[in-house]
Amino acid sequence: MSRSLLDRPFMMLVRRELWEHRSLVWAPLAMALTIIVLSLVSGMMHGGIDIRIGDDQPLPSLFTDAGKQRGAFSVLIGGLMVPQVLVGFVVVFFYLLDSLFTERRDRSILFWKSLPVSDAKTVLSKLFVALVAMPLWIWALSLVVGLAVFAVVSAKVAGTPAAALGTWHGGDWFALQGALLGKMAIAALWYLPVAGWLLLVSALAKRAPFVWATLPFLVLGIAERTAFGTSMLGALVSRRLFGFGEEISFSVTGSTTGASGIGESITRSHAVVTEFPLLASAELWLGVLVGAALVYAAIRVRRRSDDS
Amino acid sequence: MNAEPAMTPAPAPVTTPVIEARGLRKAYGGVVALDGVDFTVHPGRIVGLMGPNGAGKTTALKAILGLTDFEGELRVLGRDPRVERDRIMEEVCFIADVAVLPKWLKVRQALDYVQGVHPRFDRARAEAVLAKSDVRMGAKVGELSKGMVTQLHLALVMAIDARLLVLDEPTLGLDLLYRRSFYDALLNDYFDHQRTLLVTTHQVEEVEHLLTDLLLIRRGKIVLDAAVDDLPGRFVQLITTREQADAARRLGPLQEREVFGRIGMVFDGRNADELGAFGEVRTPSIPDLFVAVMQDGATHLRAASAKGAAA
Repeated sequence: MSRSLLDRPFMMLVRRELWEHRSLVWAPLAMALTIIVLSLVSGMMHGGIDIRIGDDQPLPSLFTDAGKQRGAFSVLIGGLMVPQVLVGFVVVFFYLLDSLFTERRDRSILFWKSLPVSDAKTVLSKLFVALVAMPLWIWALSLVVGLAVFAVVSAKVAGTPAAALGTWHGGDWFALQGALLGKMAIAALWYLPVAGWLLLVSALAKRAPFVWATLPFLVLGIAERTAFGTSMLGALVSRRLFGFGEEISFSVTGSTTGASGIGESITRSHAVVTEFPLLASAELWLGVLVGAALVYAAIRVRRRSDDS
Repeated sequence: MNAEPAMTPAPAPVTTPVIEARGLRKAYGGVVALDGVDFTVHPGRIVGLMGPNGAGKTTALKAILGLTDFEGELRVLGRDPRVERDRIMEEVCFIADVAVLPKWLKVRQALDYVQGVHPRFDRARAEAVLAKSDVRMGAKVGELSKGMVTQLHLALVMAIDARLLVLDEPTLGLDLLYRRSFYDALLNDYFDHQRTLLVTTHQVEEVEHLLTDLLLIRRGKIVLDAAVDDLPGRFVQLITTREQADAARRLGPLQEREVFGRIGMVFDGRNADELGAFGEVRTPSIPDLFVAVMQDGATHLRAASAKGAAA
């Protein structure tokens, strides 16, 4: 333990992961390119953003209130991150399930273990890829996507009543990027127990790690319902999988009554983008503890793993 | 140590053993793979750990490489492989059979990776070895033949300044040309008397002429632990006729077999002159010895395991 964790060998381990799992790099990249291309295409083909304003309504405050415009600016750019995060979630899920399983199946673990790399470092490099490198990559991609889509939007609204929405708010943009990085950090903490579980299953399973990762919850969930008529386990699992949505879920609708409907929901959404409701929650930090224990268990299992 | 030099016999050269095993034991469920094994491997030796399939060779290697738990005591370069595998592997290299390099890995990436994680890797040396082979830098392992994967793995290992190289059936499934050049490269370009090689194989003939020491393992026990140089003084093979066989049998051969009407017997600790009366005598080859020791006659082996206990 005399050597630091994030040294040159550690970075080599991280590169190794990306050589093996190319989809970690290209799947979010493909999503980013898709969003940019779609925004360009829809901008050109269909006359751009279609903003409907009811005949009986005056201009929404959104078009006149500078504060709400800045909110809308942030919500637009921040919202573009959501599809990226979903893609990242899927590829990271399967990456982690595979990470300590395939090396045993193809016996390459005998090669990796013939080199002076500790099991802790190996497992932590995989965790680092899943919870640090990937969120950073997704953040960087959505930064570019945000700029590209904003350019398209601002070109389309120019000369319409919504022209003010095409205004660039540099200060807000910087603050938003900081907030989104914060979201990624919270995501990493929130999903640590999920990642730890996947690593542990990946290190243990002789075959079919996906089944081992999911089936126990299904079976226990059914057993719980049969025995007690409750579904606490199911609630716990789905809370862990989807609870992070609280951090990023917002919707912009005009359905609330009154002229200020859109503006109000923008303000609410803006709050979601820039605040961190989970950070102070006990469940986040309890999850971190559980996650750390699972990662430690995965390291212990790999220490005793060979090709058999 | 210098207290009474005159009283003590000349000490053996002070060499810390590369591997020291005492009472090494490992069971998988109810099956005992290693049953209280003792042995010592000294530096500069080429040791053949041999035995039939299932004898415990691979388990012993896995214990040495920190790949499995075990009972008993085991020191590799003075360290416990259960707790310091990563430190041990700075000075220990390991080649299992050819299938362990992952298919997706490119040759250049393999070099990058080992260079990145191994403090004793000399990339230029690996590249020089590869330049003499058919292996292209841009190829993926999955595109290489078995022989070429072995060349790649050997190039990586030869570029590491290690003290112990462990080979587990390294030439399994290779054709004769690659097998030959594998061992030639090891002996000519890699082995010097500072390094130690531990080889397991059941292709005994292939390594017969390389070895300095033999460790024969059978059903989880070491049945023979001897320097190759000591074999002629200890083992005698007698070729005799049916008529004389009975008399020779009274001297307790380890094993006998009949080929073309002639009977071959292997003796442990019998004088060649004494046996000469019954026929032709010679030193058994390592394969002959292997066969003799692995059969039931091995129970007659003279204090084979006592050596470890006395050490």
